[in-house]
Amino acid sequence: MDSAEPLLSVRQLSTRFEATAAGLDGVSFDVPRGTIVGLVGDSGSGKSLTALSILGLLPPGAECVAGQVLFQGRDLLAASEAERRAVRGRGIAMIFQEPATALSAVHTVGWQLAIALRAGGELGPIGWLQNLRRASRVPARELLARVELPEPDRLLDLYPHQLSAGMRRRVMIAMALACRPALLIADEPTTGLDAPIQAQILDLLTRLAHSEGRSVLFITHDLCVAAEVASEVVVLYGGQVVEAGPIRSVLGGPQHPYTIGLLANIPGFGSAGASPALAGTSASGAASERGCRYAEHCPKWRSDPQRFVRCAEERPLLEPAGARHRSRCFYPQLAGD
Amino acid sequence: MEPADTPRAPEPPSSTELLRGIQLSKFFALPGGALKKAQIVRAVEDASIEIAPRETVGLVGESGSGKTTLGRLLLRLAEPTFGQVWFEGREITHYHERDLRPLRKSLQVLFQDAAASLDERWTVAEIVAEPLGIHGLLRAPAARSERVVELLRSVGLAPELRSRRPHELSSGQCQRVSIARALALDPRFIVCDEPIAALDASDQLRVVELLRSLQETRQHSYLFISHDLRMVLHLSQRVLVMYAGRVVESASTRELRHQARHPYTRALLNAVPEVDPKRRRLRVLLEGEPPSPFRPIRGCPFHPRCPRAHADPCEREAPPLLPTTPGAPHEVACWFPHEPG
Repeated sequence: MDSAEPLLSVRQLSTRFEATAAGLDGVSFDVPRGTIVGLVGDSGSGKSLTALSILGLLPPGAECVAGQVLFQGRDLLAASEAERRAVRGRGIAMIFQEPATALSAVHTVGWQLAIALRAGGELGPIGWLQNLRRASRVPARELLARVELPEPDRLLDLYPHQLSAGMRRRVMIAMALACRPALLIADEPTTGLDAPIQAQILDLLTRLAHSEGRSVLFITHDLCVAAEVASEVVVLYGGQVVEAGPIRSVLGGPQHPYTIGLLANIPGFGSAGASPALAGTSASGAASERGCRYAEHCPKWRSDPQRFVRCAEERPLLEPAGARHRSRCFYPQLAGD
Repeated sequence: MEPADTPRAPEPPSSTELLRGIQLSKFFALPGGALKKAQIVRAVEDASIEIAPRETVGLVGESGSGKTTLGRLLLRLAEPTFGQVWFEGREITHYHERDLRPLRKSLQVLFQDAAASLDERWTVAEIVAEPLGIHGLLRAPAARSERVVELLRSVGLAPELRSRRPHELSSGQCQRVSIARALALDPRFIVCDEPIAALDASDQLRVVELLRSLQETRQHSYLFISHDLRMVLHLSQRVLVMYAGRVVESASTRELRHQARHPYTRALLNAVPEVDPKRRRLRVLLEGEPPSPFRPIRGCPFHPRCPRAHADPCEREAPPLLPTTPGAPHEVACWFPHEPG
């Protein structure tokens, strides 16, 4: 396989809910090998929906209607369910947002790791279910040691409620690593953690990615967190990519007014805290049928709808705004002033 | 543990203060069972706090550090085990509920999960007007609905939303409704308990700016409880840092930002994610986990994670909260406040 080809390439992905017009609308981005890509947006922008579409785990009523999800060159949307199941866990693994719900409360950490290891075929053939616990003991302990949990032997016999929030996140990461996936999708892996523990988890994820050459799609609502870990960033708004590019380029010279607003909302950044609050949150989806989805919340358009009449009439495309930097705005150079 | 025996004798609050908590402690007793010993959990221990009129005091700390309990003690929603609460020059520590009732108008609270704190069967107008009903104010329907519209406008909500119900609103709008409800009685003091933790990034600063502008016009005080140090530094004039139920550092925001003395405060400041690579420092990760309230630590509660820890006195005795230099408003609870790290 050509190593220059990205590990994951999402192309013009559109996902719809039957009931509403909300969903993804032509989302395209790449996750190159060995890099961490940040997927940033408010709730409702389509971050988690993108992850679920990639994995083929959409909830009932939602459906991918167009586009491609190329993983290692194969289109997962065109693949059979059996092929997709083979990719899940071993090819692409997910670290879910909420360990309290993603971990089973009635099984020990060791048992849950054993199930993950067996599902990934990491344990080889096991005759009787009773042997699973013993067969998995050593690899499960190694997994816990890799996520730097102390006393892994003791932890194997504990239940999730006996662990702290930070330890539960580490267990989630260990489970995702069980089948040695090429791509990790981390959905808000540090939300709700206190800053010191968040810093520990971000540090661990970054080191795991870099030392093992793993790619990570890092989903977060916090641009600062993305800036800490990612080398590329994709900003979603209303189910569309509004800006994407290398993190330095996007944060150093944001082109889209939504990204500019997100940056202005970080206390102490840019205009030293006295920044104007961002007008409007996520798009309602049905709004602005014809024009730019962000128009009605955009400070530029709101300041002078006559001058920026095009924003209400035409849909902007994601266009180059620098080296590998793309933005979906008709007036990108005007957006920052 | 005799808080009254500590070196700083409680002084009567001066008239410049609105609210004062003096050496407050809250212990919870966990009953024992056949296999378990009965236990006392020290949620808050010997915490003192003063809040002046129109002031915002920030309270930061990890979850389980006692922030919320301290807020509840100040509002007299929880009974302190030791210590005193003074409000507008009166000691209210032992007021009965009926004596507290007139004060409840002045003492309000905002919760983290605004949507959950609003009754989903009620309309926005009913929710915002409820405090008026409880205190028997503005009985005339016209006056009451005029007040509701005025309150909704003041928090940036369109009056048309008054007939909606909470599930029809976004999380940011729900938090605004609960702000309007808290303002209905013109309070003097509002405890904001993680008011932005459940909001989107683009909503957080807007709600914080709203709180700030409401304070400018209405002149109330805030206790702003958050685990997000960025927002606390952004909004507060003074900051208290809590660790394992104790206040470990107390200083003006400026002083804390540039001259933090406690190693835990320094670790918190260091752990704040920075978007600007120029301002990103070398990360010094704080090792270990926050302490469990069920397994109390002998000596300074921070010593197992502390880069400065010495066997003596850190592992033997908890340090008192003392001024960094005599008379300074900057206080720190560390045996070695002038060491690096």
